[in-house]
Amino acid sequence: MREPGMVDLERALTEAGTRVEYPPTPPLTVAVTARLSAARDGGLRPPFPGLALWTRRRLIVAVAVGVLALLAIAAATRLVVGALEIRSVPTLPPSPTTTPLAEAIGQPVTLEEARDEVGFAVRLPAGAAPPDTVRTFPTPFGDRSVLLAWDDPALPALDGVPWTLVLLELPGDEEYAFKLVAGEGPVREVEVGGRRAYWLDEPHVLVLETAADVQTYEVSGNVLVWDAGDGLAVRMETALPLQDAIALAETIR
Amino acid sequence: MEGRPLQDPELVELAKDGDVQAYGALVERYRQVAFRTAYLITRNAPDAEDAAQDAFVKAYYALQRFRRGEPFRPWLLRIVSNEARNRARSARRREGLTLRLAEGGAPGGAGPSPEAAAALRETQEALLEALGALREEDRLVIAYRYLLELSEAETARVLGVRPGTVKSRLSRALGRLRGRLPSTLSPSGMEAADA
Repeated sequence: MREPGMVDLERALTEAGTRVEYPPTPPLTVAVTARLSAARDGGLRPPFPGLALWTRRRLIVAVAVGVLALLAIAAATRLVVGALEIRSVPTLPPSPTTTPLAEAIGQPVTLEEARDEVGFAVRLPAGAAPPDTVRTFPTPFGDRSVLLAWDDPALPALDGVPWTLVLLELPGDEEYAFKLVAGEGPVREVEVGGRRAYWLDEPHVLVLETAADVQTYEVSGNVLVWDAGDGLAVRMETALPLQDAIALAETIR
Repeated sequence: MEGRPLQDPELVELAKDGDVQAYGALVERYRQVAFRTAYLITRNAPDAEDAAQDAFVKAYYALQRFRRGEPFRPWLLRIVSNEARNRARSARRREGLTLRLAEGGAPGGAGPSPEAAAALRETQEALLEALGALREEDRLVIAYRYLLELSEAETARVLGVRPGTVKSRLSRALGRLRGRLPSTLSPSGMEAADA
């Protein structure tokens, strides 16, 4: 044993440098040129300079033809239901917003105002009382989405929020709502009224891009998402088990 | 018939005139070193990706300030480095840099005996661990020179210091790195280099 000399050390560092396992280099070229082209074409310079670039990149690539493949990076699986995408990622992003979704997203409105704003038929569970909270928010693509929440004692309570049922109704076919799940296990493909649906019953992260900002939420409740037809994706958060959740979802029209 | 690939100065001039595809060729050429530079600073892949991407965009808009005849790579990496530092500062992460060796033997030539390969790997792992624990100033000058294999002049440009400063800083940093290596480190990995 001896203390290595400086030449040894430099050579050993160089050799070690050739064997370092860096994370895979992301396909930056597509993302960068998409951003620059969008800016050059007018109107899509990064609109929210303070936001995480991940989000800005998403916003821009979503409107750049031919670059959607970029979204495949870092995602083992992508499942898309209209405007909502479920991505399986190795690890969940840290520090999501702690404010409950139903208290933070968009602006509170009445149900009638929401119906006027959104331009599609707002879906409600059959026989349910009117929602206790209705909020609308603009999507990055010019549509308006609606959130509806109930504090219905007939339904089991969701952990950590004052609601028992939360619906998000997301129009459009460009993704702006993302559910990030760790690994591939938690997502189960099911059907709601014969239409494709996915069930998540493990904690995950919901990322919502709006026209104004991006919000990230931790979700601990069970979530069912499905294609409700007419270009609408519906996300239901509930403490109900799967079969009961599907039964409830099938009443939502 | 395809012509020769355009050189950096040609691509830079095209990009200055607004040719995004030409700039894309520069991005493609340097995305790996840019990402790795950012990773050495941010210490995590998502931040490194964001920093590198932001840096490429900023560099594009700064091309009018890029002096003709100057090498593009270190100029770009300086921007990447700044962007990554800003991101790391705002993230306030405290974890050190963790670098791992790829599986498999050392590249090139006939492999060493299993014992020698194991000793070499142990040495290299210890080196990377010690490197990751150094303070940023020391870590970066070593990483730029030996891991990214930038020249002294490039390292100086990226760090924003004179080449002479790189020499002195590197010497001090290597001394501190050596001081962090375990005394039980197998000599086989390094002595082989001395033979």
